[in-house]
Amino acid sequence: MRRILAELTFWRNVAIVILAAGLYATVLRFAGSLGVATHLHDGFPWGLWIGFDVMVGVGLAAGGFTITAAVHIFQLERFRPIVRPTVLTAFLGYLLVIAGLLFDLGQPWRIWHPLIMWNPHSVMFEVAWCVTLYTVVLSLEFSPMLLERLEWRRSLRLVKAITVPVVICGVLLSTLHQSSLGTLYVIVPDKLHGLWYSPLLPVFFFFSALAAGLAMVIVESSLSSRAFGRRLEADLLREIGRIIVVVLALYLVIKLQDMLGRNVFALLASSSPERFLFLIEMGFGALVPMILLMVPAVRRDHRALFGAALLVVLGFVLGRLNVAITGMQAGASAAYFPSFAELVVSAMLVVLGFIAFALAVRYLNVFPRDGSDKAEIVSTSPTPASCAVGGVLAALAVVLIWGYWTIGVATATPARGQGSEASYKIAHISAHFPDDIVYAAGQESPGEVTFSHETHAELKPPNCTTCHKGDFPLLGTAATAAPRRRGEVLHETKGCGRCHDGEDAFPINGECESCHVE
Amino acid sequence: MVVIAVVLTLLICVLVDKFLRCDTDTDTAVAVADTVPAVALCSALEPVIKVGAFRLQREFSYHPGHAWVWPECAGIARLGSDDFTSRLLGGVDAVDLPSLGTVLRQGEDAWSLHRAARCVPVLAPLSGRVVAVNERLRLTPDLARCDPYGAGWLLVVVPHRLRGDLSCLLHGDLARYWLEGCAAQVRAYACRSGHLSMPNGGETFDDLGEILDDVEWAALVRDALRTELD
Repeated sequence: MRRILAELTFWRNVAIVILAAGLYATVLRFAGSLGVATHLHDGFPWGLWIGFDVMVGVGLAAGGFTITAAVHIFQLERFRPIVRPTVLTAFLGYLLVIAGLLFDLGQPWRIWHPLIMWNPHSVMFEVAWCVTLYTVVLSLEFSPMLLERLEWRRSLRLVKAITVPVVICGVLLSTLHQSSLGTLYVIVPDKLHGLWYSPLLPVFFFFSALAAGLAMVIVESSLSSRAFGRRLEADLLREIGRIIVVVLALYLVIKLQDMLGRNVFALLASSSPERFLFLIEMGFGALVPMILLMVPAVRRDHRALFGAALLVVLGFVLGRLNVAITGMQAGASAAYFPSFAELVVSAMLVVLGFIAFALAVRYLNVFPRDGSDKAEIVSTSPTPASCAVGGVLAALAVVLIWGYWTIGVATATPARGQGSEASYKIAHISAHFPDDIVYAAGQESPGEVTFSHETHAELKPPNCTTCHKGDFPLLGTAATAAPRRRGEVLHETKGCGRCHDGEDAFPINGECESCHVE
Repeated sequence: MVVIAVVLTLLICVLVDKFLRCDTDTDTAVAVADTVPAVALCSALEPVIKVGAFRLQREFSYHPGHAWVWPECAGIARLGSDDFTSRLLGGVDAVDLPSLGTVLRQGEDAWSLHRAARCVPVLAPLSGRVVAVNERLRLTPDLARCDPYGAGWLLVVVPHRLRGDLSCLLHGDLARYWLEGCAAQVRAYACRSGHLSMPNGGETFDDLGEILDDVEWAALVRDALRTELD
């Protein structure tokens, strides 16, 4: 007993607490329903489990197909020592993604439906097939570790014989579904915030997954080097750091071009939570780590390299969650903050990943045993490079805490049920808005005006009753419709001027072309 | 809000981990700085006994790969190679030690002793981070043979699981019986290989490395020290 207690480190205690809470949340989820266990609702059906467990999980596992392709297809043999740990990370990542999906699906027992009941026009259909097939590919790539342990030599020979075709399939499938996860959001241009929405989302998702997957290789190698007392493949990780620079540069150039093309820089002019999070994502998650990794001193210092890779990973997490949650929240006008069960289940899946990795390292031949595991020079004093990267990480923490306080006040968490009811209503209303009303141009009018109900009504005022309580009675049919008002009447306080007074909305006497189209 | 909460949680985990590590490193540095040189402390230990031809410090714990551990104070353990190893080599010309900060894992390659063309890789007797190496061995590596349990110490480590690792090692009488078995094994080996030691009283095996050919030497290292030569 005393021996067991002695081995309970801080992180093991944390893991036990998270696992216990996660078990409780699992019972809560499957004994009840999504509505009971989560803060998801009809207005906001995809929350943390999709945004973090699936989107982030799949992306961080992208190192699996890049490293295997480098070694098995492009014959870059020097990367071979990190193939197995990378494949293991990817395999566990996908298993946890599937576990996360089972939690998120309202009827998880129907997870196999997309495979049998085909809907080739759906992006989800492609993602479902690709993720399933790629998990099979990863299990084949992982199987040699297990077969060696079991000493099933014939099966091992068979798996090794089909390695190259399997790896090629893995690259194809990964390229398809890493980008298709972005395609999921291409079909919601009205819901996703303009800073993130782009027809090029599949390209962004692919490049960001490449960068984050490679950064994850550095993070995983550094952590396992410390945890399992093995040699750090410093040379390989340095080289991976250089590759990340290229990928991030490509990503940023395409992003910039896309933003210029869509002319969305205006969105950065106004202060909003979306702008804040977008700038953090691009700055701390892509630009700064790219610059840091360009510096040879950073790549040489293993702690600085780890810190820079960690920034890339955090930037990736920011990016995926911004698309899946922040950007969608803005469009759906729905408040969402994960429930206790959602938070705990996500944490439990991460902990299970760590435990599974540790068990695999302990019982399987994951790391090469070539006798080179002993001498790795680890400097004990901090270098300027590691201090700089540490400073950037600390700055990110400070900025995020500051943002949490300032944005938190503006978007306070709704009480349970409040958000769901409200969002359901807006979704319901938006489906039944009347058509736009076109007011023809008068004699002195600069042009006709089109009034859109959709852009003028929200849940809180201004809503339907703001206007429709006397001056604009709700109309029955076109036949009984009241005569259209003239422009001069509309400009008055009984018409558009009621709200467009310069305080609640822009003034009537401002720029005419805001409403009048020539 | 969700995004910030998630990323902040990850950052806090990293910072807490960093803090925990810094705490350990600081403690270690202080402890090592305060550590009295091993030679002085060794004088407080029981005298070394002889088991057959080999010396044995009964207060130390031994890995079957012939590395010793001395948990000399809280959170610190001193490591070295036993007399058996250096006697097999017949002397030590060089010691290849891991660098400061290296993390050792029990049962995996840790350091190696060299003499001329011969090399003896030794397994780590416990898991831990190296916080000090015996710099004197760089100038006078033969200390590892002359005084293997004193001035010839090799490393100081901060153990990861001292209690658990020590339970896998040999100590006291058990270590003595084990060393007797090892001596008998080498005796039998020397006889089998035709390098009879009986004319010398059946005790001394100095310089077996010089006598044996490469194949025999590799076999001896594998059997006696549980390691493989490159």
